[in-house]
Formats: sequence, C-alpha cells, structure tokens
Amino acid sequence: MNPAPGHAPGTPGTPAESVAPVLLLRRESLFARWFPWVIAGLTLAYVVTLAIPAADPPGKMQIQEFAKLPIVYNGRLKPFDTLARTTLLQTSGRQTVQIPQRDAKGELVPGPDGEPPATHTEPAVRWLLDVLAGNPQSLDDPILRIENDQLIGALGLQVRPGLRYTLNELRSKIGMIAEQATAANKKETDQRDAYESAVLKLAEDLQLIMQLQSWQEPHAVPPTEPGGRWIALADAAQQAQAGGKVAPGAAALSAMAVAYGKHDAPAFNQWLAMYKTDLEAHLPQAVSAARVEAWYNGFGPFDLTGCLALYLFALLLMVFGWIGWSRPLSRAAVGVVVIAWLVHTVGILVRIWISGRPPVTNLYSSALLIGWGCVGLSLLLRVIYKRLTLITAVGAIAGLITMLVAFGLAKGDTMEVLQAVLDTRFWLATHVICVTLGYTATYFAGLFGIVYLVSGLFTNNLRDEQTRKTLTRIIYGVICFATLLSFTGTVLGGIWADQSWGRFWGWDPKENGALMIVLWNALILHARWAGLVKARGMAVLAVAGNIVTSWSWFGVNLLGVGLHSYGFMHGAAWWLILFVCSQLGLIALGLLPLRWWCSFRPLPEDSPPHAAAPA
Amino acid sequence: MTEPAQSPALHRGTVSPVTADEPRPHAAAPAFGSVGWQVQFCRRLPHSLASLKLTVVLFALAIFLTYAGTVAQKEHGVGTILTQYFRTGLARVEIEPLFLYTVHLPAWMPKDFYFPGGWLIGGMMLINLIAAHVTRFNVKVRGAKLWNGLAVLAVGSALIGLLVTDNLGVEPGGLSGFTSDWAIMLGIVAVMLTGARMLFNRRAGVVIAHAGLIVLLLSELITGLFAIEGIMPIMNGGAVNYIEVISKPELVVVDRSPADYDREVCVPGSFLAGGGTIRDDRLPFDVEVVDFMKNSELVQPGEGIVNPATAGSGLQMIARRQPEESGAGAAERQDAASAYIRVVDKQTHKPVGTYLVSYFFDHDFGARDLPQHVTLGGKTYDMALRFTRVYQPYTVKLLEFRHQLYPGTMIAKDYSSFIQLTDPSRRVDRRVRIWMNHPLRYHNQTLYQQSVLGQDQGTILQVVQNPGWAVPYISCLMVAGGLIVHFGQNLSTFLRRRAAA
Repeated sequence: MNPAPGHAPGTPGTPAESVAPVLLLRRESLFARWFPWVIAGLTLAYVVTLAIPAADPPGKMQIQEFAKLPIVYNGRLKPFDTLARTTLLQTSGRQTVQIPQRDAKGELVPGPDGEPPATHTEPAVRWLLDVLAGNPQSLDDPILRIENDQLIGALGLQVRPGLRYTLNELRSKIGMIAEQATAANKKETDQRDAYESAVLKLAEDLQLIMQLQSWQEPHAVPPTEPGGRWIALADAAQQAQAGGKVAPGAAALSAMAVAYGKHDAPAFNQWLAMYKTDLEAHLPQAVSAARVEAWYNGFGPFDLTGCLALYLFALLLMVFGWIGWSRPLSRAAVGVVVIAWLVHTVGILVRIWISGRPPVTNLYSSALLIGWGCVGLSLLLRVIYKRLTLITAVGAIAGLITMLVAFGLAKGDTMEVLQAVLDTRFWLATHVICVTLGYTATYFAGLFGIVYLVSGLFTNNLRDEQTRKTLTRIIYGVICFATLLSFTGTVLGGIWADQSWGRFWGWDPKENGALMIVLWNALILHARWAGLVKARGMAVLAVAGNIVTSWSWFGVNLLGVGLHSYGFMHGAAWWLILFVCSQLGLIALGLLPLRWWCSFRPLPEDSPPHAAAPA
Repeated sequence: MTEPAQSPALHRGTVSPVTADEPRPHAAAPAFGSVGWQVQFCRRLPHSLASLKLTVVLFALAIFLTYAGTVAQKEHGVGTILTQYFRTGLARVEIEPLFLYTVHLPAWMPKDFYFPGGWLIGGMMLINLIAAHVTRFNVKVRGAKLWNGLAVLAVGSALIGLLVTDNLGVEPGGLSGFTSDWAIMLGIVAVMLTGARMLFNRRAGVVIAHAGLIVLLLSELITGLFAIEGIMPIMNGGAVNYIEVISKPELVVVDRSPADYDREVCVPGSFLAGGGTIRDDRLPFDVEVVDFMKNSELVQPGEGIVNPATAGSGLQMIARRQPEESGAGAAERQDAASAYIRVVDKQTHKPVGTYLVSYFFDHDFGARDLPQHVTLGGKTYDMALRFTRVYQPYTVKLLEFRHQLYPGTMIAKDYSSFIQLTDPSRRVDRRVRIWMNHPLRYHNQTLYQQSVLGQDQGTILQVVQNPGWAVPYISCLMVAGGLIVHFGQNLSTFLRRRAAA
C-alpha cells in the first residue's frame, strides 16, 4: 500500500537534471582520479602488515611460537596467547605489559627525574612466561590497575599515571586485601559500594595471577589418550611425585619454563619444537584452532589499531572532503570503509569459527554485529544513492561508535563459554541475530534521523528537495525493516523461552526491552501513516529510537546489576546517561520552529519556492 | 507545523489507503443527541475505533507501561508486576522507579498513580485492530473471486484451528530446530497469505500481519487466564506426584492417625492473607491468622523483639516481614512466606497456642522439614506452610541427576534428570531423560529441567500447562510473513522505479 514516501502519483516531480552534480562537468586531474586508489592501496598494505603474525628471529627464544600452544582455561580451548592477553586485560586494562628497564646487574633503572623506572612494552605472553617460570623480576611489572583512589590510599600507595601497581608493592597488604574482600563478598552485588567492589576486583585479579604462579591454572597438559581431560601443571607434578607416570606434555612444558628462566634459548626452542611435533601428531585440531586464535589475537581486527582506526581514518577523509576537494576524498573514504568492513567481516567469521557459535553470544559480540550491520547497510545504500556521499560518513561513524563500545566492553575473554541454558545453537542463531539486526536497523534509522536534523538545522543541504526526499525515504525504509526484524527477533525469543522454560512471555526486563523497540518502531510507522508526523517528525522519532534501543541493549543489564547506591553510577551507566542526554538534546533541537532552521529559513533574495514555502 | 518535505497533495497520495477511508467532516453537524446525531455516531464509531491516531496513542501508552513495569522489577517480584501492571485493567504505576530511584519523593507526594493497565491497553489494541479490519481493510473483489478467496482463507483458518487444538501432530518438541513441523506452520501461513492476496491484493501482507497480532494478543489472554506454572523438586531416589506453585503458599493440617493414609486439609494462602479466623468442618480446629508475611526472614529471639509465638518452633526463632524479592535482582530469589497462626479449640473457643509456620520449615525451601505439632483432644496434628500442591495422575521418580561443569570452571554445561515416569491410569511406565532445552511433554504438560536441589541432592523440574502454547508460534509467523510480503513488495516497487528512472 504505502510506497516509499514521495512516490505517489501526482507528485510534482523534480527533474533530476536540475540538480545534476556540478563536479562531473569539470575534468578531474590524473592525481584526483588515482588518489582514492592510492589510499585504498595504502590501507590494504596497512591491513596486511597487521595480519602478518609476529615472529621471533631464528636463534632467539621462539616466544611467539610458544604463544600459539593450546591450553584449556575457563572451560575453553585456547592458546597461551589468549590467556596472557585476557589476564592482563582484566588486571591491567591492556593487552601488553610495560616491563621496567634493568641494568646489567638486574637493578631497576630509575626514570629521568622521578621514581617510576623507565619501561619498554613487551607482548603479554612474555609476562606470562615470566610468571610461569617464577622469574622474580615479574613481581615488579606494573600489571594491577587500581582505579579507586580510596583503595590506593588504604594500600599506602600514591596515585600515579596509569594507576598500575606491581605485586611487590602489594606484597605486605595481601592479608588485608583478602580480609576485606571476604567481607565484601558476603554482601549482595548491589549492596557493595565502590570501595568494596574495587577490593573484590583486586582480590580476584591477585587470585588469578597466583593461580598462574602456582601452576594451578591453566589446564596446560594435554590428555595422553583421546577423549581425556586436560590437567593443570601442578596436578601433573603431584601425580608424578605420587609415583605416577610423568605426562610427556608436563615434562616438556616445565622444561620450557626452566629453560626460559635460565635464558637458555636453544633448550627452550628444542623442547618447544619437540612438544609441538608431538601435539601435532596427537591433537592436530587443537593445535590448528589455537594457532588461528593466536593469529586472530595478533591481527586484532577489533583492537584500537584494527577496524576502529580504519573507520576513524575514513571519517577524517570525509570531514576533509567537506572542506574541499570533496570528490576524490569521499571516494577514498568509500574505499577505506569497504576495506574496514571486509576486515570486520573476517574478524566476525574467525570468531564464529573459533567459538563454534553464532556471532552473538554476549554484549561485546552484539556490538560487533551491530557495527557490521550498520556499515554494511551504509555501503548498500551508497550503491543505491550514489549522489548522497554523506552515507559513507554515517557508515564510518556507526562503525567507529560500535567499535568504541566493543573496546569498552572487552574486559577479558570475549569468547567465554555459555551457561547451559543459553547453549542452543538454533535459538542463538535465529533469535539473537534477528534481535541484534533489529537493534542495528533501529540505530541506523536513528543515525539518519540525526543526519536529517543536523543538516537541516545547520546547513543548507536540505534545501535540495532530492536530498530531503532521499533522507526521508532511507529513514522510513530502514524503520520498516527494523520493525520486521525486531518483531521477529522478539517473538523468536519468546518461542525460545517457551522451548526452554515453558512460558512464551514472562515480562522480564530483557524481554520488555525488546518489546519496547518493536512498539516504538510500530509507533513511528503508524504515526507516519496517520499523517501525525512528516519528514521532520519522523526524523525526531527515529532519534528517540536510539534512546529506546540503548535502554534495551544496556539499560536493562544495568537494572540487573543494581540501580541503588553506586551500582548504577559505574562506568557504562555514565556513558548511557550521557548518550541519552545527547539524544534528548538533538530531539529538542529538532523541535525548534522551522524558520530557525538553516535549510528552511527564507532566503533574503530570490528564495527558491520549494524551500521557503511551508508545506 | 510547517513541513517542507512533501506537499499536502502528495500526502493524500502516499497515505491514501489510510486516510481516504476516514470519514469526511460534514458541513452541518446534527444537533447533539438528536436521531441524526445518533445515526452518525453509530456510523462513525467503527471508524473512530479503527483510527490510526488511536493506534499511535495506544503504542505510546504500551511503551510507557512496559518501561514502568520493567524498572519496578528492581523492587518487586515479577508476579507482583504482572498483577499490578500487566494483567490488570488499571495499573498502579510507582513513581520512584520511573526515575531509576535517583529521585526521592517527599512524604506528602503520592508514591504512585493510576494508569491504563495491560488488559485495558491490550483490549483497546484488539478492538482497534478488529475495527481496522472491519472498516479499513476493504475487500476489493466481487463474485467468484470473492468466494474463492474466502474459501482459501477458511481452509487456512481451519488449519490454524487444528494446529492450536493439537490435531496436526505438531508438537513443541518438534519445533526446536529446522524441522518439518516448521514447514507445516509455514504452509499454513502461505495459505493465509494466498487467500488474503485474492481478497485484498496488495494489502494482503498488512492484513495478515495484523490478523496475526490479533491472534497474539488473544494468546496472551489465554495464557494469563488458563496457564499453570509450578515446580517439581525431587530428591535423588525420591518420587513425586504433585506440582508445587511457589508463589501461592498454603497452610496444611495433617492428621497422621489413619493407618494407611494421611488426611490433609489445606487452607489457600489467599485466605491467610485476608486475616481473621478460618472455620471449617474439615479442619480439626479453628485457625486464627495473627500475621501473614508474603516474604520474611528468620531471626534469633532477642531483647526488644516481640515474639508472637507461644508454642512450637516459633519459640526458638522469629519471623520478620521483608520486602518482596526483586524480579530483576542479581540473585533470583523466591519470597519466603511465613505466618503466625493461633490455633483455637472448636468446642471451648479457647486458644491452644500461637504457632509459627514458614517456608523456611519446608524442605523444598529451607532444606529441612519442621512441621508444627498441635495436640488437641488427645490427637496430634502436623501443621505447615508450604507451596500449594496440585496433584497429578502421574508419578515422577528421580533415578539419577547429572550436573556437568565446563572443565576448570563452575559454569554449568549440562543438567540432566533421568526419571522413571509412571501413570497407572494410562499404563505408562518408562525411563526419560529431561535436560536443558529438551523437556518432557506429557499429559498436556511440559516438564523442564529448571535447576538443582541443594548440592546435587536432587533436581527441580518446572512444570507448565498452557493450552494455548501453539498460538504464539503461528501468530509470529503470520506477522513476520505478512510484514515480509508487505515491505518486500514496497522495496521491489521502489527498486523497479529507480531502475526505470
């Protein structure tokens, strides 16, 4: 029934020629024509350098090869590399370690004018090897990030840049930390204050590291017979002491740790090579899976240097394009977004392969998929509406924001195993993807709502009827599909619940959140069909859709953690509130009378009839 | 509001199927209350009820109610939320949760306000939808085409009828993957869409989508009215033939004196909540409710704490009223009901004593059974407060309970209950495994693996009986199918026009 707005019979048609792009008339210089290709080539080269796995020079200790060895930790097969990175990420907030410099005698070299010694960056796996080898120098690595200043004070430490502290600094305080953490642990999650939460986190981090130091984790020793269990090095040692057979894996791994501790590169490499050959013969699948994951970690498509940097680069190209030389720059931006999106796609596919699960299993991966969907949609629209170069910028912004959200959410292993109840591939594959794409479409419509409001308010872009119509049509069309996807996803969730718990709909917070998105999209469509809103009204409602979607995506999770006292005021909550406020601000701007809008303000002279005339 | 994007003529065009059918205002309205006015009112009423503006208002109300019902779950169990917000005509919306508890209202301000409840909004949506079907979704064909279309729709509706009454052999268990049962459902939706296409042409998708929504709203009504939800906790090696409804406590008085059976008399929790004295010929004594607590905690007697109990276990511990458990809390906990009951002799009307009965004294809740012994007229009765039991014709015996963890973690990988199902009335006696996402369907009920009893001492099954289980499945497919057809049609038109342009 309703064709996309603006396609009804009797529309006073605007001849396309009247807005023919002026730029096409001028012949471009050779440089301008080749510029986008050069940029695309450089971007590709950059991606290739990221994708080439790191390796140690021959003859040196083959740390990077060690990093690829498979282990079992937290219920999942993964390489040492992942263990090292996720442990550091959890305790220190980053995936590398700043190792303080030492002189020839092994003494710490003090910094130029202050106390903290100068440092150099090392890969996480080197730190892990130091810990496993029991290297006492690892106790001086700043790997514990303590953000609560009360706690820093209570530990007798000074607030320093980076807020990262060493095990040696905490050595005398372990008893106190354990005592306070035990007390905090007795309280309900939502009753703890910021200090107690911080103590608890510190205690958990310490425990994590101690388990590594004492070889209780990871389960690094492979099973000797097929189908057997992986066991911890400590357990293997105990078995050996009790007179049992020494597992060959345990012997090799402990020999490697010893050789590493003695800086004996030949021995280390020899044991490593032997162990690897042995593993490849017995557990070829585990070896290759761990290799791929280690490669994925090194590639880091969703790290700061991955897609995030590429989307940012594309956005900058677009922004410079608005200042001048727009055609080559915007074409270059398209190229960069395409490459970034391909990297994004590869990243998601590798994650699916590694985890053996559908792309969305937690908040982090939903952010990845939402970004992927938004950017993909923008590329598709760019193909349909070649004239509207703005779409590329929208895609880059969507990619950038979702990458930042994902980066903020990555607090440990992002591919962790799932609770039994969530462990059904069929429903994860259908319901979760559908709902996530529903979020994607709703956000995408909201983004274009913002574009409509901003370009109408602050630029003259909307004086062009074609642009106005195109934007409206995109918002309308995307909301249609958002309605379809979010409805289907929500009901599929109900069906999953019916299959798992015997009730279709339980009015629980997450379900309600999804329902609100469906209702909101339906409201926009019906308001449009009822004639209650037109182009501008729909844009405003679409922006409000961002709030509804964010509530469903994050707000509901915060509700579970606790709204009282400090609970709600932590990290993500502030960002959510900030985001909601920004959207409310945009909505308020969108409700300003049209005569204040740049695009609809009557021009002092020769006002074009279609722009100034109120319709 | 001025609107630059389209001219009024254009709007008439795009929205024509909607606005064209709206009644046009007449030049001279008849006087209020006159016959002419009444005729006009009756003619206009369906159109007003079908109004899209009403739809938008209802959506807005529903969104607000859903939000209010979500944030209030921080402090209330979902059962309370259902009765206070969703399954009621008039909801009582609490104000503080709306601001995420960041605002504290001064004492003189009301804490809540009345708002249309779920039944009312849902009912209005239903009326709005049906009115839209009657007034707006006009059949455009006549004669044989009309009859053919109606016939196809009738076949589709009949198939839906057979499906929801479980006559098509489609079972919920068959829908947990890409199976032929889904194909049957998709076939039914295809029949409906074909019929609608014959009658409504390009509006077929919209009509079927909205028809699906009508069915979906009705299914929530059926669930709200008829579904039963309970649990079945079974210790290792134990056997159980009843479902327990946790949210509904009952007071039970057991006479164990007969040799081969126990005589149980149950008083529903709703009677206790009402307070007062409960007299019944079946009860060996009168029951006077001193205090009934929907949720409570047990504390040690101490100075300054008044103990209402005068006999039994209540002398050692005191129950104190607690706020209801949250439906959104990190730890999903159940309300622990307790009550102080004064036992009064029927003949002499003299109180025998005041006893404390509590969920904490029930092994399914507090991990121990502590019935209160009331001695009266030389006989001893057991008195306890427990989950309401609904007895079943079948018995479930727990043979083995398996609880697997992911290696090196405390994260559950699998819970499985291996049970023996016996039902003499149907001559059933078989072994069944119930595990996550693989429930047992029996006797129009579905038994799901819910959780574990204590430290692997047994299993907790969830039992659900919902006569309308199939309705959401088919209605979801109708809405999704209708929307796909409708939006797909718009998209293809749009792409064709662009290609032509």
